[in-house]
Amino acid sequence: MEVNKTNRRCWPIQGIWVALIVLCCVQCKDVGSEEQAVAYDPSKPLLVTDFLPKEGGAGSNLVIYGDNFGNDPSQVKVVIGGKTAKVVSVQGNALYCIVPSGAFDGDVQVYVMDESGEEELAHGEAPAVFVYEKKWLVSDLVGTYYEIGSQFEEKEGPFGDCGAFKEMTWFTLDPKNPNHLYVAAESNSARKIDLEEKYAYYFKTQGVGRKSVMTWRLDGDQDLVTAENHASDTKNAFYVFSRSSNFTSSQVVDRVARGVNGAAVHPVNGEMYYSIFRAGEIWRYDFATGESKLAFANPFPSTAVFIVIHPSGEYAYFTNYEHHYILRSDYDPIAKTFKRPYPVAGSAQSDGYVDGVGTNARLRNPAQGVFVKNPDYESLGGEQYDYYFCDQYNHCIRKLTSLGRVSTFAGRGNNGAEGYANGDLRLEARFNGPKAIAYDEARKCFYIGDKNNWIIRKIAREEE
Amino acid sequence: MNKLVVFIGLALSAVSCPYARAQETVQQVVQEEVTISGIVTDVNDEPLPGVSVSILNVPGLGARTDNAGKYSIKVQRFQTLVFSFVGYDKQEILFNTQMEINVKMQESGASVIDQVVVTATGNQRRIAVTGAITTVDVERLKSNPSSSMADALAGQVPGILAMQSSGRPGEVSEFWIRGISTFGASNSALILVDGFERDMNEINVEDVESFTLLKDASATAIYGSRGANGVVLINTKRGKEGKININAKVEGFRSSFTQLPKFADGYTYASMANEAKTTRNQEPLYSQAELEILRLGLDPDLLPNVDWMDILLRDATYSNRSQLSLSGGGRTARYYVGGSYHDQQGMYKVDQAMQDYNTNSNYKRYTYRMNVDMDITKTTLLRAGVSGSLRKENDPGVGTKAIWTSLMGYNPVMMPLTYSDGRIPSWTGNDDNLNPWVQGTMTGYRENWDNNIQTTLNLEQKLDFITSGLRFVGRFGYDTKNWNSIYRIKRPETWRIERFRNQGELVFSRTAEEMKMIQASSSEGTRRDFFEWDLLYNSNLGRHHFGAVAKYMQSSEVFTQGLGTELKNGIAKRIQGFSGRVSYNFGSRYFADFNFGYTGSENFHKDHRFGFFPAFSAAWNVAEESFLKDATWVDMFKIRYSHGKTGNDRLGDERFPYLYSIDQMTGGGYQFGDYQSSNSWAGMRYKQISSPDVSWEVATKKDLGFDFSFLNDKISGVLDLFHERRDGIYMRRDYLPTYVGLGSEKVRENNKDVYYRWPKANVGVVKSRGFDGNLNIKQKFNAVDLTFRGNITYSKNEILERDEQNTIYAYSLEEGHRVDQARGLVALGLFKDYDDIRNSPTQTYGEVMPGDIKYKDVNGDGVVNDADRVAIGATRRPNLIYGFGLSAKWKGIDVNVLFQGAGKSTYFINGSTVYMFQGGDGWGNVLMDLANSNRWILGVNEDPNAEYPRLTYGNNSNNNRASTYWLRNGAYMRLKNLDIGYSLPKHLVNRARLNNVRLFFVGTNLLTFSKFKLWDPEMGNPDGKEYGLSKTLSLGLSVNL
Repeated sequence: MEVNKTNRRCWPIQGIWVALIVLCCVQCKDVGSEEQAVAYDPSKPLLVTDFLPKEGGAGSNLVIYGDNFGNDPSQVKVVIGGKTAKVVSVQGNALYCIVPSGAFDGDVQVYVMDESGEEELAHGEAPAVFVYEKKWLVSDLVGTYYEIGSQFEEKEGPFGDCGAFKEMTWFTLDPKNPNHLYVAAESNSARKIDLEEKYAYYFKTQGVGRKSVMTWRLDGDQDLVTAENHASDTKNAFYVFSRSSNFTSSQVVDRVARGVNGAAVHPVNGEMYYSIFRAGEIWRYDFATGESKLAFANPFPSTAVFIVIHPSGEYAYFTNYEHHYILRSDYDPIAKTFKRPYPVAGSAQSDGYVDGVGTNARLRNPAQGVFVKNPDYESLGGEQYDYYFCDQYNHCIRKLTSLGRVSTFAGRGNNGAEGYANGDLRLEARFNGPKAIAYDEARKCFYIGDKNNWIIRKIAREEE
Repeated sequence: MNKLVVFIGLALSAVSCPYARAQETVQQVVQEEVTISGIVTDVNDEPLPGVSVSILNVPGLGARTDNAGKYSIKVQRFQTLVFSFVGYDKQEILFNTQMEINVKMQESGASVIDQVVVTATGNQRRIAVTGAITTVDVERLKSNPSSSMADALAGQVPGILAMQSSGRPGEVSEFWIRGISTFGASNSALILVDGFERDMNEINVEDVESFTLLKDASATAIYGSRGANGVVLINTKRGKEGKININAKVEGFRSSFTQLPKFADGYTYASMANEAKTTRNQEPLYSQAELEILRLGLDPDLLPNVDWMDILLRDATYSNRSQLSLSGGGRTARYYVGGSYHDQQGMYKVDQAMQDYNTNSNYKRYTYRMNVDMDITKTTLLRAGVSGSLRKENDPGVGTKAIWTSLMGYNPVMMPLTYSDGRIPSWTGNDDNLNPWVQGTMTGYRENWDNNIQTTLNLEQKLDFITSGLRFVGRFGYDTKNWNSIYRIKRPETWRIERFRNQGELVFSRTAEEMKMIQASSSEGTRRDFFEWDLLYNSNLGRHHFGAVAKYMQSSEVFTQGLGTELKNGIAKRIQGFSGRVSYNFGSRYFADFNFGYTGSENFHKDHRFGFFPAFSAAWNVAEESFLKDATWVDMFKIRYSHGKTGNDRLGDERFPYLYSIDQMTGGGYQFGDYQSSNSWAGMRYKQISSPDVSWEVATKKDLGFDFSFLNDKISGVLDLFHERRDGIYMRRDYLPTYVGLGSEKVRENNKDVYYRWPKANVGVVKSRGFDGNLNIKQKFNAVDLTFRGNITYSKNEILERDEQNTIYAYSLEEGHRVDQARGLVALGLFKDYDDIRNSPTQTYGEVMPGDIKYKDVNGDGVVNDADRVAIGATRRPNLIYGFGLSAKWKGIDVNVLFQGAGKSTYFINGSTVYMFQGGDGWGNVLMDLANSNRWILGVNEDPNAEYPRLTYGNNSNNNRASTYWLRNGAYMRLKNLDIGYSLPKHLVNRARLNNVRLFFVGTNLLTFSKFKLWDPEMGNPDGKEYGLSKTLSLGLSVNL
């Protein structure tokens, strides 16, 4: 082909132009791909050589080492102590699974299954035995976890299908029927949880607004008393739901009170103590006489004070929610009233998260607590109880011993440590603003009102 | 180049005028064309190919010499032949009868004596300049790949201190003439393009004819107002008489980051998080099994190992720019037309699947410029210029700032790129907490458009009929500017998982719901007009040379869009001034110059509106003295001195401080009603107190300068020593006693502090001193031309007075220190052991352990607290900038190397990037530098001089505060430019009918030397949360025909 003379002369320049244009048009490559582990090779043996950690309990992470595990978690079955473990991922020479509950024997078996996941193709056993510990574990009792908050439902139903439990503030177990757990939940419906039937009911409280606390009368039928937390200076605050009506009809108590957050009935003498928000006062109400009088003034006004009386009636804890500390008041058996209180845990000046003794400890919005008998103390005589309470914005359950030591019982502790996870009390379990707590003597477990997760959690020791 | 302009001017007046009359008489006689020929050679009689031969005032392409230097052209009698060639002086020869014209071209090696300098009042011979003026060689600015000339100034121009703090496309360097000498609202220079205040960043550097810096009072007093921070004069190119001259240039760039923070991998992060916990007696954050899962990559959801920087950022990006200009003209009119396109691409990767719009950050600029000069009469010249630019910035929907906050905040273990079920992870729903890949590709995009048009009219009338040497120049300018911002943003549904699995299953919670694409827009616009007239007079009486200038100027700027509801936003900002200048020189030996500006700004009350800014300067050209006149080694030696005042009226956003405003009190009020009826009235009070005496900020500047040129220009240079005192710096009176009764109140409104009833005054005083200078050495070795160039600028300021709180510790005052002086505690290393803690002054920033930072008790009161904070280091902005370089030329090859450096810059590093695990919530990353450095480790490395203190998970308020421990030296030196060009041989080029073809390679920021290694030291950035600077390699081609 004959090439034009001018073109030939100019080719270097044109070439450069082309090169530059090409240079300008070059674009970048995209994100790199991940490495893939090799699939199971039937011609090679399945080896299980080791695992980590060597001991643990239900819910622990377990890494198993070996060879030829393949790369598909659905085709690998791990059985620990006869229980099938959840396999999270498999990668040739290592796999990651979760220790199942009840794996007491602790032998670790790994199977590679066929594609249907039914037939075992190969089997290996770890040379050592996993040391399985029984321990306290946090689990869900009732309630649904919502990934998207706005999709929640509130409804009656069997455990597993009864929606969200919002605004839980106070738990109480029926003293005559410990299978019934009553839940006060502010303006949301109060609930009755039947622990035997495993069913959550509404507890209808017609005409009662914000239900802040529920307690039981000592006298008569042991009727249920519900406090209404309202902002009126002329309105009665307490309603008694009679056992005889199966708690369907209520009678208002002729006692005007505004801003009631805490109320408790004395377990020996039967009078009721309640706290008033604005004035920060603790009042004593006598059901028999209808007489009401000031027990003592709380050191701070404008604070919610929750009241929990020791089963012996000898003293009570008055928890200052907004002031992050717990006061103790001793009972005067002669005057039959509580005396001037003194601080036992936390500091009214500062919130925080510190385990320690008495006022050196720091709390952040402590809420409901419960006295639990500690068998370890039996031989020592004297005080037999520990006090477990919700430390709401440290997102944990804390324990206060009678000697005044505060420790963390469950949850990570600290502000910003909220979450939702079950498992080991301290290592794994997370709460989100737990506020209500109850101890079930019969089942030896705690129920926690995990307020911002909208779930009732359970803390129990694993049984064989 | 300057020389050329003058030469043409002189040639025109010298050649054309006498012959004009002659032509008239003989025109009829000689009409027939003859062909003449000849040979063009250089001084060594070597033939010169490619020399352009044209006929004066006759349009057309003319002719060119061939390889043997021969040419032939048709010409009429009494026409003038013009011989021109790049790098040689132009020659004009009148054709009469000779049939052969041989020409010897002289290389144009402009001597310093002939150089022309653009000043405030027009062009001046370099020798006659008495002020501190720097003329920048525009060629030197052209190789910088940035879109703005501002990025090329550091290290090239003596007198400029500059830094670039972000590398995002469209972001430009900040620069200050002779440093910062005020803590007032404005410290930036006044930039005048073709005489009017305009934006430097929209100018295509190829359109620039001259770039001049006016540094002292004598040069800037004439601007009265606004001259205090120095002035930059930029003149654009204009057409020249002769054949059409076409210039084209294309360049392609490859940019990558100079230096980004490097982070540790996931396993290292987790191990160090555990160390941070256990070293403070807390439970480790990750169990042994979790570390193992992480190491083996067994849980890509909960314990991933993601390199976020790698995921979002490209290794390199490709950009380009091109420009074309045409110029030429005849005797009565000349034109210059230029256009350019610049495309600068950002470093974010884009989602290849998404083709609808571009999310990568980028910057596009289109410019055009048309300058036409018309000789309306023999003595009247009208110059008209129209120019404009369109600038478009693109950024991902959340914006670059949010992206870099996330890039620095996301550690490898925090979250995967996507969860295994396809859900998109993000820390929270906030823009600057989304994961970087989401930010970069799934949040839509935002655009900013900047659209400017400028018009300049310039009428020059010679008034020789009144008196010889008198000239009138009237100037009018009209600029409009529009700025539009359009956001098209969206966000996917994002999730976060709980720290632990629940029975092996992930527990999700939604951090943000999906937002479909929405659109938001805003705009702003201003209109500016300028009007000026000058009366110029020049006269030479023997060896006495007089010059005088009288000048009137006024300008106004008014918002045309986005005014809001505030009425005062609609009032134009106006300035009016009268200025003048008288100069005298005797025999080019003694020079004296007086000038003044009398300027008013509507920012001030009418009693204080006008400021008078006089300046005088004098120079002595020693080389002209008889005792040196015969010394051939001295070409020039001049001593200059100037002393004068300039002003600054810029108060930031604030206007009319002399006015007060009144509003109704909020809350309270007075009840005038009867019982059970309401008739309440709130009281009235001052909202803003008037400060009627506020006036100009005045700079008093002194400058002593030396200009020299020795050995036939082999060694030349300039050195200036300067001193400036800035009085009357405008500031708020924060420390008036309460008993004055003003009821001053600080209120937080729309995330801004608003100060009510807070008077203001001109109370601050700052002194600054320094020097700047440059040195050029030229040498020729055989065929190699070598030039060494060096320049330096140093400036140090000191606050002499400002309104601040009295204290018993004088060192804690700002007075006596630099503006923006870094302050903090003095670190004495780390605590060795508990004995060391017990025996040291008590530190009041929380409990300390061995391995925490030990501070000096400066005031000796036994307690370390904020009263022990002192001035440490210098300032973030460098106080010293220098540059040096070498150029070499050999045949067609030219090489240019420029090193640039900065010194006296110190800054604190802080934030989540540096104070590792500061958040205590998993946000923040661990620098590789921390992981690999000599850090304090309990029981392993308890070195009291370790580079990082004992780790803490969560904020450690003792360690994490400004102190010498975290103060870094920002001094650096870098290979800023490497420019290698090859001009194709003439004979090849000419065959393609071209004049000059140059291929070039430019490398920018290729090497950096600094003690500071975490990220680019020039940025002066405390936490790395900023788009990094670029290292650029470019290839380009320029063609001239």
